[in-house]
This record gives sequence, structure tokens and C-alpha cells, in this order.
Amino acid sequence: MEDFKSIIDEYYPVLYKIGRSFTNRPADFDDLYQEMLIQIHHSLNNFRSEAKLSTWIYRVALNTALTFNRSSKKSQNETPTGNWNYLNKEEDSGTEAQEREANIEMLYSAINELKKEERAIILLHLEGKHYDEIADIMGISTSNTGVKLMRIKNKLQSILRRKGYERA
Amino acid sequence: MSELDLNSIWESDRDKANSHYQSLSDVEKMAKQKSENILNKIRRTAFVESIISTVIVGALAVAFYLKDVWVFAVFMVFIIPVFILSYRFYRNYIRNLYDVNQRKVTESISAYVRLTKNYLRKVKFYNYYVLPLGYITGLAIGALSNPDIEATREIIERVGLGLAIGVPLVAFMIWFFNKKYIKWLYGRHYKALKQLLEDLQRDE
Repeated sequence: MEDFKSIIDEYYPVLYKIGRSFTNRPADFDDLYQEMLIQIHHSLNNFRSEAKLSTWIYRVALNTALTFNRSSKKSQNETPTGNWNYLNKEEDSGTEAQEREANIEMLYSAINELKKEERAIILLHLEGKHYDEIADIMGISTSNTGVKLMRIKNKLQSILRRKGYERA
Repeated sequence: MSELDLNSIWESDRDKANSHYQSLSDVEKMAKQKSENILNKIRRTAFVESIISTVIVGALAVAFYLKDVWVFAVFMVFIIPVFILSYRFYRNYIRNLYDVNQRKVTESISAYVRLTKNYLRKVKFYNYYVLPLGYITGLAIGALSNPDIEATREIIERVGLGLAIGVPLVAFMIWFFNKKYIKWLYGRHYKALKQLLEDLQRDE
């Protein structure tokens, strides 16, 4: 069985991206990120290898994100966008880096406008998962995955257009 | 916009994710901290409620016993098993939820909704019927068990008719405020879970 350390070593970028996609405030992100770690840590003993480890990780992390609902005073007092830069230990500089950073923020901001289940599906798609794998993680049919994904992509595209993404 | 753009933006965020990675000891510390998940919040609230209720009622029972007011001391002792019953609801709820988060997303959310619905049904039954009935029965048993004690007799004489009107009124108030409390505490979480499940199952 995989140990917690090797799982975190391999999957922390996934947890980070799930955290960013399901929150729009740094304080909420921290809480959700921590929550996903807690759930994986607590559930690890029950991992039976019936599913692939990556599938299992996505299930636990997404189930945690989907049922995460932060409504503390701390969140309410903060601006919706907050300051995400504190997450960077080394600040990027230069036009290209700034543009990349702006694109990332715009993408997360657009994803945050989707419904929770839509965020989960688009996230899995962007992670490079195939329809059957997305269907397996989400527990929906493969054909429905295709239908939903098409609809979500269109929705995301129109949100990005509204936000002024130039290449939209 | 082309799909390639989205994927490349998504991939470019890996650097940021890397910079967020803490040391393993930090991560392990975080993993052992308390959970902020909705369901865990409900579980913690239910647990704290059971403990606080039992402690308060136990303390009141002792206080009334020391004051020699048997009617309320017996009542309080009677009501403790009612609180223990509520703790059983909570414990079963935890046990059933334990491994739900490892299932497929739709199955998992469906199980959350089902378990939460069952739990809420039990909590409502307990709060709306068992608890008010427990209070009334406890008061009656307390009053009848020691009618010769002076303090008890005085209370019965003083409240007399008031008891007949007051008890149903108290029962109604318990029912009414519990209903508001349950709706405030669990309602929005349950509604959010149900909406999520509906979204997931749409088009299936």
C-alpha cells in the first residue's frame, strides 16, 4: 500500500489545482487544501486497490471539495479575489510571466463561476483524463460525460469571453 | 478559444503548485488537524450538543437534589437517557459516513444525502416528539414520586392550573424553537448536498 508521503509527493499539484478550482479566497483555499489532506490521511487505511490510486485520490479529493462549504466571518470579510501571490515563494517577473499569471488567474476565476459538479468535470478533463476515466471517478455514464463536458466547455468559453480573454 | 490554450494555461500552473508544497512534516501536521468539512461540522455539532446537554441536565439534577427539590431532580435524571438516545443517533451517523468519501462522486454524494436525510429524520423525531414528551413525563413522574415533600407540594400548589396551561405551552415552544434551530443548523447544508446530487444526476 502506498504511504502518505509518496502520495503527497506525487499528488500535491492535483490537490492544489482542485483547491484553487473550488475556492475563490486564499483563506478558503488553505482550509480546503488542509481538508483534502485530512481526508486522504484518514482514508488511506481503507484503500483496497480496487481502483487505481490516482482514481481513488481524485475521488476522495473531489468528494471533499464538493462537500466543502466555508462560510466563516474570516471568508466574508475578505475580498473575493484576495491575494493569491502569497502562495508564491519566488515572485516571477517579466512580461511573459505576468501574462501567464494573469491567464491562470482568469482561468481559475472562470472555473469558479461554474457549478460545483461542472468544476469537477472540467478539472478532470484539463488534467488529461479520458471520458471513461472521468465517468468512473464521477460515477456517471461515459456518454453523459461527453454531453456534460461539451456543455461545460461552451459555458467556460463564454465566461472567458465575458472576462475579456483575448483569444476567446 | 482553442482547447490547447486552456490546457497549456492549466499546465503552466504547475510551477505555482510546486511553490505551494510544504515540507512533509507540515503536511502531516495539517492532516491531523480538525476537519472543516460540512459533514464533519454536523458530526462535531451533534457530538458537542449531546455532551453539553447531558452535562447541563446532570448538573441541574445534582443542584436540585442538593436543594431538596425532588420534583426537578427526578425530572432531570429521567431526561438524561433521552440525551443519551440522541448521542446514539450521532454515533451511528458517524459510523455510516466513515468510508463514503472513497466511492464514486455520484454514489458518494447520494450516500451523503441519504444518510443526512435519515439522520435529520431521527433528529426531528427526537426533538419534536421525544424531547417535549420527555420533559412532560419527567415533570409528572417527579411531581408524583414525592408529593409529601414540602417544597414539591408548594410548587404543585402554586403552579396548579398554570401547569396545565404551561406544560403544553412549553412543549410547543420546545418544538417551535427546535424546528428553527434544526433548519438553521442543518437545512442549508442538506439543501446544498441535494442540489449537487440533482446536478450530477441530470441527463443520466
